[in-house]
Amino acid sequence: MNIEIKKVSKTYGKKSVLRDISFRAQGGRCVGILGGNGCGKSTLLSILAGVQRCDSGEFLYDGKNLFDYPMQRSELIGYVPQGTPLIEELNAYDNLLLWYDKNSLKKELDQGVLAMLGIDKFLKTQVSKMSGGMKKRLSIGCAIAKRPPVLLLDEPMAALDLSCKQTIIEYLSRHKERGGILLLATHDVLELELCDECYIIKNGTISPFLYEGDIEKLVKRL
Amino acid sequence: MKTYFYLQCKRVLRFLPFVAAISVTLFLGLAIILNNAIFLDSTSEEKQLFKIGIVGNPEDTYLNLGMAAVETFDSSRFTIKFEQLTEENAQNALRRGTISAYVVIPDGFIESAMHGNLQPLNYITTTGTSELSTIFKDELTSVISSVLSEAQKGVYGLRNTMREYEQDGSSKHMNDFSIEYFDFILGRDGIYKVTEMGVSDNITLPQHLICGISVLLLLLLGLPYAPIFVKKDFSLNKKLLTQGYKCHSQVICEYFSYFIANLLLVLLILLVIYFSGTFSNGALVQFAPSFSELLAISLSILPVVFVLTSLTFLIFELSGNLVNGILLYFFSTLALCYVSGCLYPIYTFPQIIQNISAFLPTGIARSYLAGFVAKNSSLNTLWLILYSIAFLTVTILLRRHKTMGRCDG
Repeated sequence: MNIEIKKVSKTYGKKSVLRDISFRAQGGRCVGILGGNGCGKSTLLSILAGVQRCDSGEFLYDGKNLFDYPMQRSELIGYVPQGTPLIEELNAYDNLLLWYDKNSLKKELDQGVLAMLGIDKFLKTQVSKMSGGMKKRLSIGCAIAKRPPVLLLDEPMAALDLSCKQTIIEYLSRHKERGGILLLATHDVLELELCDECYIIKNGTISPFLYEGDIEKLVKRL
Repeated sequence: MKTYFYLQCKRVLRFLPFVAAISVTLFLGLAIILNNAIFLDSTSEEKQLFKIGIVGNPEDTYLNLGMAAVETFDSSRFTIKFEQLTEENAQNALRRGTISAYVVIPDGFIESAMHGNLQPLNYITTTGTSELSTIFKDELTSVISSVLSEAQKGVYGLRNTMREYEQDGSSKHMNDFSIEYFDFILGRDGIYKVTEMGVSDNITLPQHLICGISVLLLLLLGLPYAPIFVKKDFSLNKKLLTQGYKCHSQVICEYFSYFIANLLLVLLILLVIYFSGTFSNGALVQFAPSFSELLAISLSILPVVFVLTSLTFLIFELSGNLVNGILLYFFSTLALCYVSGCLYPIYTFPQIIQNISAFLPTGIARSYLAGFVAKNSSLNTLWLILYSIAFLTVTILLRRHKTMGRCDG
């Protein structure tokens, strides 16, 4: 399994946000997308997830352009946007019901990934009363309902405490081990350590970056 | 999408008890106030009377006879009370508001009437521009002018005629003729009827107020829902898009859950008012339709709830955050209702405002309710549905712009 992003471009009015963005990712790999605020990381992920349309380009999954197959894309891609993709007035169980059928939800809560993310412990808690970490775990839980092989995560660990980050990292590592692909838009050092390869978006163009733990070098490139 | 609709209903209905408690209290309180202020007080003649000062020669027998006739025979005696005053006292009374107006009978009025010529009466009132009482004052001017002038003219004309035929102008016949004449010219029930029918949309003033205030309150029902419908974060909508749930499906699910909640609320309010009227035997609320009538009211109010809910929904979608949303909602509701004649009778506004009101959704909703009360059919239902569709379409376009538009990062 592999994905390939080919010459994806996007403009807002006269401003070109993304220009010919191209890269590849193999199964079992995590790709980090880095860049300053407003550089186009979230735009790229939202295009790949199907929220926005690009002006040109292709998103190939094993050679098949997913831009032309939205139904298949929704099965293959799990997307965790930057905000809180949850219904605040309802509890965790109700939110999960939006993405899972009752049987599979029960199964996942008993021994599956939802249990691993610890969601079973706050099922009856209203989202508006949850901590940031609980919300993020629940968001990831919702995104993986169809067990998608490709996960697009937009700053998944921003403003979370260390134990919560650890839980999420554990889950993401397991996803990789199972042969899944992770695409991470990030600023976080812990997340970077999860990445097998990194790319930096700057002035609308993408370039590879080898992260070896040197933050100073990274900051210079951004 | 069924699950999304179910969850939206669950989300909105969680707020229903809270919203219902506020709304029912508000509506019931208003119903009691309206009941006491309009229906019960309307039986008190004293409170309906317009006091009119008469300034003229109090010694004049014929003038006194004319006034006595108006106060005794004319149907206006239920709404007008005359008071003989000097001009200075009349001015003071008018300033204090103890009289609505005064009429100056000019010097030589009787003499000129005796010769068949009438001098115009001078009617003095405060400069009300857009007040309801202006309408009544206009009517009163016409009553006083026609009754006093024509009565005097008629009596003197008759006396002159009788003299010409060498009859005794002060005989019993003369008096009988005069009284017959008063009876004839003062039987003006038709004028009053026409005036009352024309208050607004062929309904009475209390009915007009109830229709207008109902529109305002139906709009205000949406205010407690602002915290759940004013969105800052569209992440969920973006995520739904990735799973094939298009913007229009999302908006329709959210809108109909809100519509159902509002409809339940309206039914609840109608039931509470109905039972209040029944159990208090009309002392609290004079609203006691049968259940079939209640059902007819509930069905007929559907298009109004439909349009007002879609308008509210659009305002929430337009708002960027909760504070803006509440402010935008509150002021646009008040402005729309004011211009649409929901707070004051529309005919008291300048013609251009009246023309604009006829095209505003709140104005059409008020007219629709008035039409229902007056049992007039019109095209208002169609307009309400068209407006609802237009509001929902704009909401969908806004949602598309907000979810599929520019990303932050």
